[in-house]
Amino acid sequence: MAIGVGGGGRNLSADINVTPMIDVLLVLLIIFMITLPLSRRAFDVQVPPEQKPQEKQPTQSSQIVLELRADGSYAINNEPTTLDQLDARLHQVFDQRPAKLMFIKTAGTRKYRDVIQAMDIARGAGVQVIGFTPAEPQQQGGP
Amino acid sequence: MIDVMLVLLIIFMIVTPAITAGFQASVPRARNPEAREEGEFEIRLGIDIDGKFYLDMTSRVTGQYTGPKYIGDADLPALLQQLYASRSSDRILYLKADQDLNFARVQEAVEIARKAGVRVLGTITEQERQPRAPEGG
Repeated sequence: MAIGVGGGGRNLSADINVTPMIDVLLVLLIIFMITLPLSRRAFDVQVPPEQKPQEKQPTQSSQIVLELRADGSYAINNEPTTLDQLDARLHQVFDQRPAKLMFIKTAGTRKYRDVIQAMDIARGAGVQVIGFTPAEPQQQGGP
Repeated sequence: MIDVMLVLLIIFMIVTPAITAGFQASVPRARNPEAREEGEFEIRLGIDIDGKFYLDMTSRVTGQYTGPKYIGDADLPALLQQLYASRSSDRILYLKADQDLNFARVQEAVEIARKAGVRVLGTITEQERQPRAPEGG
């Protein structure tokens, strides 16, 4: 027959066309694999080596020490401040300082969350290097 | 073929949390942390809500990743010392601690790390996108 167009080849196939689906799945897979290691975020905190008493730096007075006290208050170089004012105070302190270095001294009863929050605010205020002060043995009493 | 893909996807979805099984910590959120790509042989120290230490790393000797392993307080100093003794440049320790921990516990870990020769501590946080909700002390 001359008009048997596709007469024999018309096999109705019930299969779904899976090729686009596989494309999508592969892309998903690759996205998963790439974002897993890349998505991590962290703060870098300097852990200065323990200083021997005679090596005490003479520049001690110019250091900025943010203190998280046991009673929930904050202090910058012994000057009490509040959490709300912390950002403004840190901006005030660090805007004119070339050395964006701050130490954090935390009472043992404060939550780790508060420390991260304080570091977060400090980063936001332009602090580039954050250090933990060495623990003072007499203050490690616990609650 | 699509079966294989689906299975792979499901395996990935299941394995990702399972890798960290046995160690659970709700990591604090922050707005300004830096991106820190995971290195192959980095050393991660986890502290869960109970204050237990977990060491999470790929062994440089065997090249095998075994997931977070519980480390007793008494064993941690020697272990970290041994790990960092052979490292001269990358003296960084990633710390994944629960946000509700008392800082005293974190401080203990920091002191141990300091004595082991760690110079930089990477405190792992999660990126917070929306503005911080007002928190009550």
